[in-house]
Amino acid sequence: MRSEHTGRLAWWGLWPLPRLVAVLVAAGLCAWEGTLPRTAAGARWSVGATIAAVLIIAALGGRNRQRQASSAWVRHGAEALSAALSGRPVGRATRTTALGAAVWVALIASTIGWDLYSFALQLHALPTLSRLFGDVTRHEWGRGVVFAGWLLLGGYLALGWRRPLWDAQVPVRRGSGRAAGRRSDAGEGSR
Amino acid sequence: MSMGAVVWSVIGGAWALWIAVTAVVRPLPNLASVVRAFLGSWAGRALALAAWGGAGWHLFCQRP
Repeated sequence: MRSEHTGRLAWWGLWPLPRLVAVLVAAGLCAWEGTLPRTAAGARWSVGATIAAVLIIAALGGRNRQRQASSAWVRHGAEALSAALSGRPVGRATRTTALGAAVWVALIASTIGWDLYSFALQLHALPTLSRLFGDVTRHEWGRGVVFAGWLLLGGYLALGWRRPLWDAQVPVRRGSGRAAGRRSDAGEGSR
Repeated sequence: MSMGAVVWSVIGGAWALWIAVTAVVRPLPNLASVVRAFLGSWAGRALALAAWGGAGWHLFCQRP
């Protein structure tokens, strides 16, 4: 399936009927999952099977379609983290992106830090993040809705932000910034 | 309202505010770009999928 304007492949790359079937199966799974208590064997089997299926799909769908080699990703990540912690431009990061990244790091760190603090004290007045979610997932509808969100996120993490299928024949050069060039070539539509 | 609820409200409000700000102010990295930063390579994607799987197992099989 190619877009009329750009000629790029759709991100999922499936025909409408299989996509419709996949959506219906996922909706049925979410509705069924909502009826299960966390201690049920069916809950463990279905969640475990979902995790395994998403990992397999990520592996099969991602061959030669990553935008960067892992070594380049680690190097750029270290630069971004260094820029975020210092608040100064480092490597490819500008001052604005460094300050923005610093706020993201602070938000994520405060969330994880407060969750760990609440977990360590085990007080009723200090609920952990999972206890807050537990207040929602103990309801049938809540468990189904949260499971649907979790499933959508997993699908995006497995298949999203890949290089387009038509570009997948050329492997990414180890340690290269080829992805950045491809990203600008591909534009918004490949996201 | 307990102290934990107040702190979680503040943290949640900060998340919502920052997501809104980064959606409007273009040069700032937004939520999508943070997620995509992890999906750029196999290492980052594996890290994100491991966190996703662990969170799902904990949420749906261990928490009430």
